[in-house]
Amino acid sequence: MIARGDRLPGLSLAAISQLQVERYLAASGDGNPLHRDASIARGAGLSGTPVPGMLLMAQAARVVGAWSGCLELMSLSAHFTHPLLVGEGVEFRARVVALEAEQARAIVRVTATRQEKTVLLAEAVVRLPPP
Amino acid sequence: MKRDDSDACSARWHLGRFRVDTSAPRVARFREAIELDVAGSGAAHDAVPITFPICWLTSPEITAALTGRLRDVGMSPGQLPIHLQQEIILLGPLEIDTAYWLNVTLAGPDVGLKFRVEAEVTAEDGSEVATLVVGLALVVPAGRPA
Repeated sequence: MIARGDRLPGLSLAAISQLQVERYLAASGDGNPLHRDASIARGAGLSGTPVPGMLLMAQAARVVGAWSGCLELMSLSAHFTHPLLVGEGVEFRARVVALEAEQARAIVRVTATRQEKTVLLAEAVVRLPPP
Repeated sequence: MKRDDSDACSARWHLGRFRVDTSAPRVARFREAIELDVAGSGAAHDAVPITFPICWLTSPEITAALTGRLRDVGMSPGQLPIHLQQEIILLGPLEIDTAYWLNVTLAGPDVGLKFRVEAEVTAEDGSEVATLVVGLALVVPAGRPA
């Protein structure tokens, strides 16, 4: 039984490596040099190359997917609020923030943080099984 | 490209209608890259991840259409797009090894050189399958031409 306020199992990722980022860039086709070239990243005011936001969003989806099992993920939205740099770790926490019985769906909020700083704020809508 | 001035705050441009697909090898590479198949992920091993459609938006055709339009509205060669936000709404699961159409629109600029890329995903029969919305901002890294 899913209830408002339920906490989902979190996900802790140790330092994300440039190799992981390169693998993601290759698989997704993302050619933005910001994620590869430290000098460009420094020029943009960062102290290192940033992890692609979509790689973090995929991990947010992974957190919801691991919890909901075969429940259908209907939508996922994310704000990339602060850059996470290659070599940094990140913690994902999630909880059910609303149950909408009439629409048979639950809203799950996922927060990814690095040393108390929010790097990603996501919201997922999950279809609930029929009663 | 057709310009649609219906929104008084920011202009909208239709970037085109593009053929895309969920080819099994590409989906498998993407799943591997996001480490979706590790134990306990709860995901079916042949499912298309909800974030997979971002791969379509980075295709050379769509990137060229998007970059061309951004340059038309003043983006300099030294500017880079920064991904600020993303929304993916599915009306049903994306099927593996299936072709779709992607209808892409650019809207903006808003304050802070922010743009929105909106893409409607439709199936072969024209039924709507998903909507993608990307929020971008343009930045000029120091040392690059403004």
